[in-house]
Amino acid sequence: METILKLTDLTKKYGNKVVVDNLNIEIQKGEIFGLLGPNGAGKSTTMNMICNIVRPTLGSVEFFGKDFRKNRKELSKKLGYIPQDLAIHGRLKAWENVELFTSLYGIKGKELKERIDESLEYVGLLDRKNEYAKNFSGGMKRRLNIACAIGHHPDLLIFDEPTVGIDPQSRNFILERIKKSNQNGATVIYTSHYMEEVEAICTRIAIMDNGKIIATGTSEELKKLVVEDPSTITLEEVFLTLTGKKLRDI
Amino acid sequence: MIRYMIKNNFKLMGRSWLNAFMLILCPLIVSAVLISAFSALMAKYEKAENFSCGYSFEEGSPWKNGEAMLKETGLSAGIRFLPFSGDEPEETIRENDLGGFVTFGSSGYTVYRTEDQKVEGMTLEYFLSEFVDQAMDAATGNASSEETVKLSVEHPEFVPAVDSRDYYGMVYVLYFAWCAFAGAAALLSNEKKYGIGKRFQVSNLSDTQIYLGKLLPISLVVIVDIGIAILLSTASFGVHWGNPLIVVGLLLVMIPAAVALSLMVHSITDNVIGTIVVIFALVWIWGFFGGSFETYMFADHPKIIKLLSPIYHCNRSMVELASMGRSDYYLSAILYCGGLAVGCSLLAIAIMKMKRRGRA
Ligand SMILES: Nc1ncnc2c1ncn2[C@@H]1O[C@H](COP(=O)(O)OP(=O)(O)OP(=O)(O)O)[C@@H](O)[C@H]1O
Ligand SMILES: [Mg+2]
Repeated sequence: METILKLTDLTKKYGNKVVVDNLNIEIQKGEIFGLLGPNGAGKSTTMNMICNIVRPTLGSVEFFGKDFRKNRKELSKKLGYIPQDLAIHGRLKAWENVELFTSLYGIKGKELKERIDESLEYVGLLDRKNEYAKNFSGGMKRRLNIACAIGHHPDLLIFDEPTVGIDPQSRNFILERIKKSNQNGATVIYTSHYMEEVEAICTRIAIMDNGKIIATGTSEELKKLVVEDPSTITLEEVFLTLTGKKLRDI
Repeated sequence: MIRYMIKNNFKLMGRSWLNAFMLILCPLIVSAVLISAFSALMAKYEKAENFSCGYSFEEGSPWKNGEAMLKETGLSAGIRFLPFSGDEPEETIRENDLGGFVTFGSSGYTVYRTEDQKVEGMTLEYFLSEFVDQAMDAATGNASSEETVKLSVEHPEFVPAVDSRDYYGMVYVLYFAWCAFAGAAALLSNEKKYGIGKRFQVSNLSDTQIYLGKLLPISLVVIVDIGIAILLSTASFGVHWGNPLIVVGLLLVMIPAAVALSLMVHSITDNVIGTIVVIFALVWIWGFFGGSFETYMFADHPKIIKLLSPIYHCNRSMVELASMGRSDYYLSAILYCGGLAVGCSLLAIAIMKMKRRGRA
C-alpha cells in the first residue's frame, strides 16, 4: 500500500501550551481516516499543520514522500482542504465562489466551467448556482464550502468538521458524497466529534485528546480496547471511556 | 492564473456601495462645497491679475542684476513693477495705490502688503516665490548661496491663476483617489472575517500572485470610480481637466501607487481599521502640504516639505497642465508615484513571504 501522508513527531506549542503533542500517523492510499476528539483536542491545529497553514513547532509532514513546505507548488494540487470555518464570499454567487477557488490551481477556460458545474452538482447546488452565497442556509453554505475545495480533483481530501450545525438530510448527503469520492480514488481525512458519522464512513479511526493520539484502529478494534464483545458497546461509550467525561472548554 | 481572482475581486468591490460612495460621491460633494466656499477669494485672485507693485534694491543687492527680467516676467503675469526708494514701503503703497511692495536685500527679499489689497499682496508673494525659485534653479554656479546668484534665466514662466472651480474640482478628486484603500476595505475585511486567506495559502499561488490578485482589481475599480468622478465633475461643475490623455496617464500610475501603499501597510498591520487610520493620516499630511486644503499657491510651507508630498506633485501638475498646458511637475509626479508603487509592492510581497515563513 502507498503511504500518502506521514506525520512524524508533529508538535505544536502556543507559548507553553502544547496543543499537538508528538503525533505520529501514517495514512495509506484509499483510506477514510477519522480523527475523533473533544473540543480543543487539537484536531484543527493538526489539519492546519498538514495543510501548511500553521507552522509546526517540531516534527515534519511528508506528503507523497516529500516535504510539503519545500514542494508546495507541486503538492498543493494534490490536496483539497475543507476548513472548519466557512471560507466563502457572501457577495459572490455560488458558481463565482467555486470559480475563484478552483482557478487558484491553474484550471481555466472551458475546463474550469466544467469543473464548476461538476463541483456544484457534487454538493447538490447546481440549480442554485446563480444565487449569492450570503442568502444560502447554513447547510447550503457548508456544501458550498466543500464545492470550493474539490474542483481540482485532489488525491487527498481533508474535511475539518464538515457537518457542524446542519440537519440530518444535509449530513447524510455530505457523508454519501465523501464515500463516493473515496470510491473514485480519493484518500480522505475526516475530523468530527459525531461518533455515528465516523463509524459509518471511516475505515480507520484515531481518538485524540489533549493533543495526543490515545488510540487508533477500526471501530471494532477500538471497542475491543474497552470490552471483549464489541457488539455490547457504542463508539460513543468507547470515546467517553477513553477521553473521560470532563467538560472540554479550553 | 490570477485572471479569475482579478475578475472576482473586481466583482466583490463593485458590489460594495461603500466604494462608490467614497470614491465617486465624496470627491464630488467635497469639491462642490469648496468650489463655492472659495469662489469669492479665488475670483479676486483672478481679477488681481493686473495691478502695480513697487520695488526697491538695497545697496549691493545681487537681485539688481535681475531687474529687467523681473519687470518683464511681471508684465507677463499681469503685475507692473515700478521702482521706488525703499524708505517707507507702507506709505508708498498707500500713496501710489499699489498692490504691494518688495524690497530686495543683500540675501533675501521682503514683501509688504496691506489688508485692503490682500489678494494682490498674496498674488505678489506667490509670484515672487515662483520667480525666485525658477531663477535660482536656472542660476549657474553656486546656487546654494543667494548672494552669488547670477540671475541669468531668460523668461521664467509665471503660473496663471486658476479659479476655485478648477482648482478644488481637480484637487479633491485626486485627494480621494489617494484614499483608494476605502474601496478595498470591504474586500479585505471580508477576506479576513471568512478566513479566505487559508484557501490562498493551501493553493499553489505564490505570494506575488496573491498580491497582484489584489493590487490589480483594486486599482482597476478605483481608476473606474475616479474616472466617473472626473466625468461627473466636468459635467456638473464644468471643471476643466485639460488633456484627457494626460489625466489618464497620471491616474494609471498614481492610483496603483495609492493602492500599493495601502496594501503594504495592510500587510504589516493585518488589520483593516489600522490600515485606514495610518493611510488616512498620511494622506491628510501629504494633502495638507500638497495643496489639498489651502491652495498650494497661497500656502507658505517650506518648499522641501511640499516636494516630499506626492500629492503636491500630482496636484500641481494637473492644475498647471489644465491651466497653462505645461508643467515641470508632471514627470516628477509620475516618477514619484511609480517609485512608490514599485517600492511598496516589493515591500508588501517581502512582508507576506516573511509572515508565511513564520507561520507555515
Ligand atoms: N493561534 C492560537 N493561539 C493560541 N492557542 C490556540 C491557537 N489556535 C488554537 N489554539 C488552542 O489550541 C487548542 C486546540 O485547538 P483546535 O482548534 O486544534 O481544537 P479542535 O480539536 O479543532 O477543537 P474543535 O472540535 O472545537 O474544533 C485549543 O485549546 C485552542 O485554544
Ligand atoms: Mg476544530
